[in-house]
Amino acid sequence: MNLFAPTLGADSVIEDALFLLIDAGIILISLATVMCLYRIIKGPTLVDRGLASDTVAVQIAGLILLLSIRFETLVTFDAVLIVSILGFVSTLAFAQFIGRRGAAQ
Amino acid sequence: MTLNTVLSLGAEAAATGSSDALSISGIRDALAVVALAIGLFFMFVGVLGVLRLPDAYSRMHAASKCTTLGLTGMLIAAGLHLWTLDVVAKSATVIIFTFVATPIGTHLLAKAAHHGKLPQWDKTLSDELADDKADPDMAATDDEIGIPCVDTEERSSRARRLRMSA
Repeated sequence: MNLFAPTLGADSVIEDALFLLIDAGIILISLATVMCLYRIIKGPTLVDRGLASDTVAVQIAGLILLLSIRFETLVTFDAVLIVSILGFVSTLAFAQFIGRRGAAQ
Repeated sequence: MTLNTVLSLGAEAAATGSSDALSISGIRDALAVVALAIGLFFMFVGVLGVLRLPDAYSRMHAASKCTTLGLTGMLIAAGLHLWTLDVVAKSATVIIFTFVATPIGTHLLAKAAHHGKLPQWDKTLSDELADDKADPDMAATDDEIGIPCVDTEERSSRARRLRMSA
């Protein structure tokens, strides 16, 4: 979507739709992250908190992905893999912690 | 209209400058729009499940399935839109990693929650892991299913019992 040299035709319509969807997705994922933070704060048990923090990690990976498409930079693309790995490892550590503790309340 | 017709129309449009048909990058962008819409839908539905479902086990079900599919859809969209070798390779790596890692993490979390006697929803129909633990023929001890045990004395006595029974 280049505002200074507009192109006409089907291609630019599709590309505009893609970028509109990316913008909507950035807003949607930010909203979803806030909803997961609510679950982390409210969550009645420890398991809910660990689960919601894992979901937040996945969403931050998706947000980084969408932002790197939106601003057309590939520098942050590697961060998606890093954030996914960190989320996985933190979930494993959380499960070990709950298992050692013996009580999931 | 077959794909060849679309492609020839696109090439013609690129040659003449008028573009009523999609070029190849336009087709890839259209597929990326579809993949991104699917991914965002699943991501948001997963978060709605985490927010609204009644107990932790069903929340795990919503979170793991939907976020896996959501991230996969977004990565497919990124690979289709950018379409360079490194982006496609990194996207494939992250997709494979997510498909392996998220079910493993959620499975471990669910096992730890069950081991910690997390109460289930009132309307849960069956609890087969508890049935298997109660069944002496199955003899599924916590050591066998991989939950770490804090009490070393209990662990050693349990190991002794296992060795005697074997």
